[in-house]
Amino acid sequence: MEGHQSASSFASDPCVGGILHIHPTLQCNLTCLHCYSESSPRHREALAADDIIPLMESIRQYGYTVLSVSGGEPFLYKELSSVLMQAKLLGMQTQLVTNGILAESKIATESLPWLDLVAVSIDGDEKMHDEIRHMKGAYHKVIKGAETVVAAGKRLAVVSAIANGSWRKMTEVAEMAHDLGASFVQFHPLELSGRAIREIPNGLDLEDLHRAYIVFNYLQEKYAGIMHIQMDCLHRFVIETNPEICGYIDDAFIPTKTNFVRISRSVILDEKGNIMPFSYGLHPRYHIGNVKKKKSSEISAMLDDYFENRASTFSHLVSSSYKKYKTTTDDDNDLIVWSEYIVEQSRSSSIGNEVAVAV
Amino acid sequence: MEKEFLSSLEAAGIEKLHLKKYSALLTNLRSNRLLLEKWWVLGQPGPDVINVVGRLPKDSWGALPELFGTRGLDRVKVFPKGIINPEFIDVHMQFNARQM
Repeated sequence: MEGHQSASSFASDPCVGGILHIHPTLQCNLTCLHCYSESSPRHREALAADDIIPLMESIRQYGYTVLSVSGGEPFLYKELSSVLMQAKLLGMQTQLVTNGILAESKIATESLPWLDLVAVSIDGDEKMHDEIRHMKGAYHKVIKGAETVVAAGKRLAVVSAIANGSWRKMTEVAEMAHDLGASFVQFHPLELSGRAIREIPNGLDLEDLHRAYIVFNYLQEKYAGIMHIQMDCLHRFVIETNPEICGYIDDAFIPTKTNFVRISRSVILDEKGNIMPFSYGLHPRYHIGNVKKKKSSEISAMLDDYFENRASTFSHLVSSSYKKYKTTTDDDNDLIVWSEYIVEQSRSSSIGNEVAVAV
Repeated sequence: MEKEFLSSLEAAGIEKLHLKKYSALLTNLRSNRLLLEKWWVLGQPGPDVINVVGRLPKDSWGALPELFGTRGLDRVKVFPKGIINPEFIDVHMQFNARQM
């Protein structure tokens, strides 16, 4: 699964607007140990481009001007170039996250002209990467794939999952990314869900999360002005001093179709057609709708209805979660992946009941 | 230097509490626009003193009161650097890790 960055996705890029993340298929050529959605070759289903395009057309006007394609492996999605071409015709920026192995395939060749940025996953050094990918030689293939992207004149990003011990490899990943000509490196703490629960049961402990965070700070200084370094976790100090970074504006905030993007920089379309704010895995009670259950002509009205009438449910989830976090005295919570925290809160019964009362 | 830095993060005796202190201090200093140049720790097994050398952009005098309020700050030296007009502000800070 190449979607492990779904909550932020290069969001620190100052030119980036709201992001529509799509996961058109869970089909993948690999079975990575850390895959939270258990993508694999056995998945064959895919969303039709006709399901995706009406959503892109409608949501763009609400500030979601970036299309980010993940999966599964996007270069296995047969309608990829049609979707990307349409996004470009709509004036959207386009990006994609791939394992890089199929960068010279027919689908990739047809799609690259419509992409602004391609992110490849590099998880540690060669040994670690091949182990996680369950494929000997995967590391060399992703390097070759990255070179193909750069040769095509596209901006390159590198995404890298952090598990126990892999903080030791972060400097090597950044160095490799720099050598390849990448403009972004994004480190993402491992999510203990999907296949990772069985295959990497120790996940990422707090000590190694802090080590990774310290190395990330070091790398930011090292590559300042050269390459953008991002890590998908926030320190309590940042959360407390910048509530808007977490989607919390204030208690008087009323979400509408023009300001919803302020509390949810991302909208997700999953492989089943579910549309949800913020992050993959959010509890269904917060979903916006499902593209498969609506005619294309009804998508715009469905979004309008959500933004004007139902978005307060999600807004309440964010504000309740923010306040809960601020008041919690659990000192082990000083570094967190905010999107995972929101997903966790969306599934907790206490917040859910509170929301039910509020609605 | 990079190798030394990485090995210092798993030196004998380093535990969660120490790492949390480093994370908090880094976040705090960098949020106040301090560009870190050098960082070294004294003490065994855990840190007693954390020394930080960094620089602020020349238009960042306003960040100094915030930096001076950083928890555990014991000593600080500030030098404007540059001929005639300051080009940046050099900041040396020493923290008492036990008070952080």
